[in-house]
Amino acid sequence: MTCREFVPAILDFLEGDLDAHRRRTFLRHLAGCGDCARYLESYRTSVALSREAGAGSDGSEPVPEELVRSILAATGASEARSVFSGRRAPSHLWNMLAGIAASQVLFFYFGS
Amino acid sequence: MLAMVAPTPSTALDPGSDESLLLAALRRGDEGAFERLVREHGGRLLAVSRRFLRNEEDARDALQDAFVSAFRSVDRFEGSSRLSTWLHRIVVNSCLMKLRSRRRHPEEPIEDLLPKFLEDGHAAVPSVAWRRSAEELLEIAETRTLVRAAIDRLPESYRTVLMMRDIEELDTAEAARLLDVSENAVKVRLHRARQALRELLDPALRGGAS
Repeated sequence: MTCREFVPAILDFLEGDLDAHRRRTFLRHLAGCGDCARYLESYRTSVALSREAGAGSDGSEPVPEELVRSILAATGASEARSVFSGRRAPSHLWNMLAGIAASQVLFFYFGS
Repeated sequence: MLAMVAPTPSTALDPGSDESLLLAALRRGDEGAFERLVREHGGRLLAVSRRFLRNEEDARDALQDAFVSAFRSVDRFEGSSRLSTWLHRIVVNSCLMKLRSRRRHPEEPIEDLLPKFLEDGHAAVPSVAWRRSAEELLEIAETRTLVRAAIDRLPESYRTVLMMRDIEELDTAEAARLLDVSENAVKVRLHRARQALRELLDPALRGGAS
């Protein structure tokens, strides 16, 4: 195995998807190549950093009140209001648009 | 169809649990229950939406669309996963819809951020060990800013897969289904995204840099 072959196999190695033969070859190359060992280590560190740092806010802040009202209005629980534009939208129009958006989300989520 | 959200026995709802009672109230059309759902989960899910979309208005729109979808499909939720897991998947899907709708320009190629190799198979640029471990780096306040900025520099389709797999912790099959691509395509994209992220972080984290 060369370094060019080692690098594409990293993901499968980390996810345990290498078969026994490829895993042995991978580990043999790793043991003898300091360059690939350093690359793998920094790759692993990148993954760990993105998992921890990329997540950012844990969402412990409450959802803004105007957004709660807007969501409840969009579900038909109360009169619709366009809180983002600052304009009041006709409730039948708002409900129609919300229905279309919801249908699209559901179609892509469950229909594929 | 909701059963397609990968259930695991350990996360199934217990009959009589608070969440099961909430689900029963939602199915009855109890408006108070829906409001409770929005208030209990909305903050965390808005954070998810903000991470994906990086635009407050889009993030709020996507969250609203997701809750409308949830509201309309709660009858089909079988309780085989936690409500929070189910809602999370719907929000991620809503964000993907929003990303698709606003994608207007061809994205930057990622090849410049991938390692190059010589004809003999060795790396064209030798790797240099990083100065600190992930644990040590995460204790430094600037690291989070550095990493988030690097993630934001990834081409959108790669950033999206990295977000789904490494940050939102969806498995490959779920990510593939939501993106409507093969599992292999997700793995290829994820590996490239991680390599590109490593490359972007390398100048700041490699040994010898201050």
